[in-house]
Amino acid sequence: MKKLILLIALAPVMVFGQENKFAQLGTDLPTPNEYRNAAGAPGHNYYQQQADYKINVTIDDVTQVLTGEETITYTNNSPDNLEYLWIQLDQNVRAQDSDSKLISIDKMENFRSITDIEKKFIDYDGGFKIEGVVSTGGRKMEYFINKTMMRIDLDKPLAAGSSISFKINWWYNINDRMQIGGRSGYEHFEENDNYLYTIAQWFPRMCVYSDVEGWQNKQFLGRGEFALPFGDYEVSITVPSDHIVGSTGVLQNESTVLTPEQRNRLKKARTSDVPILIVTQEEAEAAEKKKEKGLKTWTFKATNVRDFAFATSRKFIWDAQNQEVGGKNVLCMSFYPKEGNPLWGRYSTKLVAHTVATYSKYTVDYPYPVAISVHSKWIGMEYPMICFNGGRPEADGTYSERTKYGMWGVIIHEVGHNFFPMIINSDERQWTWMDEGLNTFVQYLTEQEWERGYPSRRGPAYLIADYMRGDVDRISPIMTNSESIWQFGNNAYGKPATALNILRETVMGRELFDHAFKMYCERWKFKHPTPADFFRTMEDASAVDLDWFWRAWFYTTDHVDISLDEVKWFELNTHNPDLEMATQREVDERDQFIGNGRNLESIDETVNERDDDIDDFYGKRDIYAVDALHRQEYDEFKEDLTAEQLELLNSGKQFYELNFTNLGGIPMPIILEFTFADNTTEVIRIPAEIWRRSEEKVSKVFIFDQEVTSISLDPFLETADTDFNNNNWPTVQQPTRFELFRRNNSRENPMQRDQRLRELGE
Amino acid sequence: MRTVILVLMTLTLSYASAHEYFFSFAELEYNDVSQKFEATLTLTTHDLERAMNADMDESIVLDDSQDHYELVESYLNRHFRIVTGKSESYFAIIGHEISLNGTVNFYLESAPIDLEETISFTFDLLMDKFSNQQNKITFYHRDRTYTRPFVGTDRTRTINLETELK
Repeated sequence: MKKLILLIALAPVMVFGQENKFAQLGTDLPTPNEYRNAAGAPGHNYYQQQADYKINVTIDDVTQVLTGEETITYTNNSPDNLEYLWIQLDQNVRAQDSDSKLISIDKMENFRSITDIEKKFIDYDGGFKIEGVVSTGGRKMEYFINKTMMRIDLDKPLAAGSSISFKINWWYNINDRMQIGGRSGYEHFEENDNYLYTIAQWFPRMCVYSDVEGWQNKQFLGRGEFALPFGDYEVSITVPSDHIVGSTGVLQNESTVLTPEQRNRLKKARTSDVPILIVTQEEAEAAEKKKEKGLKTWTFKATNVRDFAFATSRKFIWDAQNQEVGGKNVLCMSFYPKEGNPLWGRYSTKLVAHTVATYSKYTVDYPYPVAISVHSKWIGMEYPMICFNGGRPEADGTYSERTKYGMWGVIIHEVGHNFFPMIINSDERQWTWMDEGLNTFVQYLTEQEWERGYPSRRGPAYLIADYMRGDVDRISPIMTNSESIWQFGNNAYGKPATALNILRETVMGRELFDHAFKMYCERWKFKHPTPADFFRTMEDASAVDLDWFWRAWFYTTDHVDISLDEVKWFELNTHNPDLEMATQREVDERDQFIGNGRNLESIDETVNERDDDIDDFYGKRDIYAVDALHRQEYDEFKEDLTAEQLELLNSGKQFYELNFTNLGGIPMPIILEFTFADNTTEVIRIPAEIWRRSEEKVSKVFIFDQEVTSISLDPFLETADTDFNNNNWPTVQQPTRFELFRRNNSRENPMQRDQRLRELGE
Repeated sequence: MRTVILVLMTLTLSYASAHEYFFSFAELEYNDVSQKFEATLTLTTHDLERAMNADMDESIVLDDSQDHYELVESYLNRHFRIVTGKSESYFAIIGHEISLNGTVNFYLESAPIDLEETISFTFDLLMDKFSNQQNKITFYHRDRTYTRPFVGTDRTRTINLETELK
């Protein structure tokens, strides 16, 4: 029912309570300094260390042992003298005495099958076997291994601005990835007894020393990935002579490892905008059967990379095409066994090219000369210039549509990791979201540019609602260390990707967001950013105060649930007695008790209708009648108004007071779609700052020229609201998924329906 | 007391991935008229396939057909159970939908069951295969919403309809 407005002068009352989500975040962030400034950019004295590697590595295809020797040249660009160096020994996570085995939580429910039990007894002697650390002059250096870390003690501190070179020799048993799991390892193919190696975390690598952590020596427990300094690599990889090697970096010795025909094809691919086969399936199949004797050494160089990985197998089919980025050519390549076809030959390299181009648009120009996708059953894992991706068709060469989309998604995601964290080099061991979350966000943008309506798993706001709603007992804030996160995928991938999407689509708008996001990427390419650098840059480059957003989305487990509690409808009191009396009569007559109408019919005559003497002054007066006194009072009222005020008073404006409650805790913009009596609509977007003084309840008055028939809150599913049952006026009860399914689904399948349609002659 | 391990023979190898999803959701309602629970289970399709392959020695590839309903129903009923009063639910699959984004919805309906004040939910779907699996139930009942998370160390949770609000 509409109401007339009662005008009461209210004194504004403001209550400044305790710190809320709109409080400044700066007090919680690290203090800006000469290394990282308050704008979120590298400071004027920013530094980072350099680690250059020269490595010789051999894969023994009979024993599956990797043997290596490396010379590391470490340059101390910090202002500090370093008494010791820390090296990462990530393979030790698979050592027999690894902490990772001890800290995994078991229950007897995990021993349901014989393979569950077998897994506990797998006799795999993993981990690095360090054979020695020596100076370049051959002198033994002191070292101490602490699980997945190794400390090298120096005779004298490594002074600021100076370098040191030393050698390490090691070997390890490569893990059977299909048995033991892992980001790298080998897959054995029983047919023809062949191996496909995807090799990573394979050499002792320098830890990061930075202004933030000092030495980043948090142990590798298996989940929190890597923190690595940039450097230049020269790597010689010795493998069976019929193997094809795909690797980080640029091949230096084409003439000794490729046939003239392969070199010709590669030359063609370098200028082709469609994939060209360098090794065909037929050639790969022949190699599988023939198994040549002897060894070959492939040499690669990579500049300014944080890591180095490679893949090798005689099973590899190899194709490549060019993709121009920022005036430079990027050779996009794929390496895959016949088991990957027909999907891989058709899509992989095109996906690599599309990903490199699209990410470059939103972040920084892809700086490396090559980008590679390697087929690797089940997993998805990323390294500079190269990644290992799943997506295997059935043995008969068929594949389901979801296998295709799964393969597309994982290739885009893993190639995208070149940007986060390979180039914009955040510390994965501390913050998974800084690479996975940002990467998943750009993955969504890239998928949508690959195919209109691409069924992205993460990105759109409404997809995160199931995860965020309700009991928060087992979920973590995004700002949680990588090893401690509950619900890893949703927390570190889905929620930050969604948050960024909301910033882009709803809070900041695409132009401001894209500029700020690109600024962050440009500022921190080939550097080590922290969360504060990201938060600060996004605000600094956009002039949008996002402290509330970071606090709510990144530091809490609150969710979005804004309730449209109440709608009050008002019209202005015109004081015109002809209008107001008529309106009052209309209102009074409309809202009648059911008995009144029935009494009119059933009671022929009441006493006062029969007896004229009953009705006195009060009984006889017409309370809706307009008399001269009413009109005189109206004339006097009008004399106090200007012409504009009078016009406004008679405008027929409709007033709606809407009351909202923030049930979920995250303050969000209030997006409303009003539908009017003439079926037109209007969308009004209220910034989140409406909650800045009152985080729990707010109200807002809207004024329209005509009546509103319905109101919808968050009509475009853009805020991740977890409960739509309180988002509509009049109330609309949302069906459950089950109800929707039952309502929409008959028992016939699409082909049966098609049959019926044909029978109709359609 | 010593308990004998029930070992199910299986030929399928373990699944390993660097990038894991490991979640599933149940949206649940009690239909006062039919006195049945109506549930939608949403989970990662390939996770379910791998868990079932390991569990049942069957190589299952889910598609739009109902070919594997018997096996899936058996698997789901072992890992998604509701006890209210002295009765335990048994769910029948009434349909499913596979999404191209990698998830699958199974629509389930229980046999008639009396709803008591206290409801015990066991929801350890996929936990026997993926140690980091987490599940969550959202139970809608008479304008109230109840949620419960489940992890490997906490596979059974209860809801008391009288004492708990949203």
